[in-house]
Amino acid sequence: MTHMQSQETTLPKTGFPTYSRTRRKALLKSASIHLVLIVACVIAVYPFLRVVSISLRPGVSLLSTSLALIPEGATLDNYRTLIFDKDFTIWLWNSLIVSVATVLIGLLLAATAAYAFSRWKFPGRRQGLVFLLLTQMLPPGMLLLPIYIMVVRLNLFNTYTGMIIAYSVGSVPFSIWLLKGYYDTIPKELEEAALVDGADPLITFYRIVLPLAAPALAIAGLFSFMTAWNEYMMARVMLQKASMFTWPLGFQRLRDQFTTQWGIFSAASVLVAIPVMLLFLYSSKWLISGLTLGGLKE
Amino acid sequence: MARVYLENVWKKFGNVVAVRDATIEIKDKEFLILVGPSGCGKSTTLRMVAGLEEITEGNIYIGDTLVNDIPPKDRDIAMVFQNYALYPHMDVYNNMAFGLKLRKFPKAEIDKRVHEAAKILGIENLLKRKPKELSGGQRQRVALGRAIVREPKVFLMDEPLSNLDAKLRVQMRAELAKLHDRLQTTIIYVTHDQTEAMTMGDRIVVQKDGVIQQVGAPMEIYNHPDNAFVAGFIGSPAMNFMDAVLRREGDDLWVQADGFKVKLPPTRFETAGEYIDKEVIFGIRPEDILDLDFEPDADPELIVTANVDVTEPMGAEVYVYLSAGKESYIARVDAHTRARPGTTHKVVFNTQKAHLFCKDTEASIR
Repeated sequence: MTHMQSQETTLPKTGFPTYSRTRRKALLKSASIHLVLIVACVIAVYPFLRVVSISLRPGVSLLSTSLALIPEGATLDNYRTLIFDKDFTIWLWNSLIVSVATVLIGLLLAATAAYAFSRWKFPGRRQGLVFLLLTQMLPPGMLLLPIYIMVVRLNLFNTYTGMIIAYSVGSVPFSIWLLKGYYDTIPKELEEAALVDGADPLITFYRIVLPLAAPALAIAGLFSFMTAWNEYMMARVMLQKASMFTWPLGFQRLRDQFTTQWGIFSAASVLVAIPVMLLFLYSSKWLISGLTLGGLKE
Repeated sequence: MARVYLENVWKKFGNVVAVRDATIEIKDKEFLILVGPSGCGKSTTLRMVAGLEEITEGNIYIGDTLVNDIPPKDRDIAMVFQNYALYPHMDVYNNMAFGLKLRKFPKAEIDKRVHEAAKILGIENLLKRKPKELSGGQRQRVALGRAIVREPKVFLMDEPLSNLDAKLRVQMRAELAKLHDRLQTTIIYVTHDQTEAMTMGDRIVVQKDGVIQQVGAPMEIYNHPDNAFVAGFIGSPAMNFMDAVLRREGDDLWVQADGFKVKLPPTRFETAGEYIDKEVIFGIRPEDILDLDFEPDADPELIVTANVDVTEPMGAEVYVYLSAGKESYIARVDAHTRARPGTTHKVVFNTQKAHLFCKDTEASIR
């Protein structure tokens, strides 16, 4: 009470009272933050909208310079052609199989390996971690040839398995580092409590540690998915059979020697973005901070 | 319910000895307190009983079973951790039910036990909340509840109250003691707080540097400490220690320190006779230094004049910080004392209750 009274008496008699000045400051700050965010959104979204717009154009106005987002005579013809007249669904299916499998295998390997690196001391632990980091420093192009040779010798050329292994090689080390860092922040006492409660180490891992590591697992999963989903170079080297093509390879087929069907190309771009968007939306609920809050006295 | 027996247990971390040759028998239904300063090995001892630390040497029995190589889950123990260690992703109900679910208890039984424990602890209305939505005291109760529902042979508690505020700690102290009466289970309780040790346990084990210093009932340890460390650790304010020499004058035995000289009771001849003219540590608890103003019949040979450095009023009593010669000490006297900082004051040393310790070994002379 006395505190409030003293605040009232210190208000200046003339001019704006102090609280109004601070409120204006806060408004200005909020406005500038929003402005920056809006500009960033426009920069990010506009090209995508252009692609959507081009994909809706009828064949005659493909090279139109109009900036209208919904073109005159908008049509879904490009989508129809893409889905029914081209092998698009096959490419998408191949990509989906390879990407999902890369995520599952990658997470299984990385989640368990990272747990070992985080919790146990064993000979070669440090060297192992450094080695995993080193693999991330090599440019992907450098790995092309050795992986190609291995895949051919193992008879995995033109197979899903070969692609999945090749992509996992790239994503697992990163995921291990990411997950190890996250596991390190999960208090050991939680696992000890579970051990005393009657869990064995394996149950402790999947009932206590894994649920708490959900945000890191989501990020690792997303990363693995994106690695496999968007990859072109490795696929170009390892897949020769058209029926095995992933979508980046298939897209190349949309370009003829002299012309590119930009409308179909754009429609395809829009469609391949949809799974990624859905995945991001779905995993966003796992990307919450402070999952381990409250378990221990802070 | 079971007894726990530690037989010559050692724990080494590399070259560091955390627990040295500990032998303790914890009786069935006993409330045993392991107390000592940080790093004394008390938590390590508890964790070895839990199975969370391997034993370097020795044996641990729970009931009649040798548990050295038995994993924690099969030891039939429950543990309450210092920082609660509640599962953040589960609500209170599931935190408490987790252990029972793992042991495949029927759903109805789990439900019954969780609700019973919640009722005992007064957390029935919190069962649907996540740990992060609870206060410190509530979290502590959930941690206790998680242990209670298991109905284990032995409860292990690792400083469970140290993170609570002072008022809540006092309240929970009483509740834990009540809980022990109610559950009639063996409890091993680790704390660095000598008040908790004194007030809660049937017996106390005092540890220092991995070595057990003394085992006994709280008052036995308070009144008859085996060595200067135990004497200083148990009791608040701590016992006063002064370097002194034992002197014989005629038929009397005296303690002479820098700044004062007081007579010891004649019974001391038997125990301390061999220390005459030798240096000893003279120990006296603050409540055994009396204010002369309130002791009109005091023996003049027990009176000491000292400078008053500081006074700390505690309400019902005052801690008076005194000094005489090199020695300074604390007296715990009635709130009406006239002792004021900067003056001299006369106090009476109740040497009937004083302690003598060997200067070299710090062992009690008795």
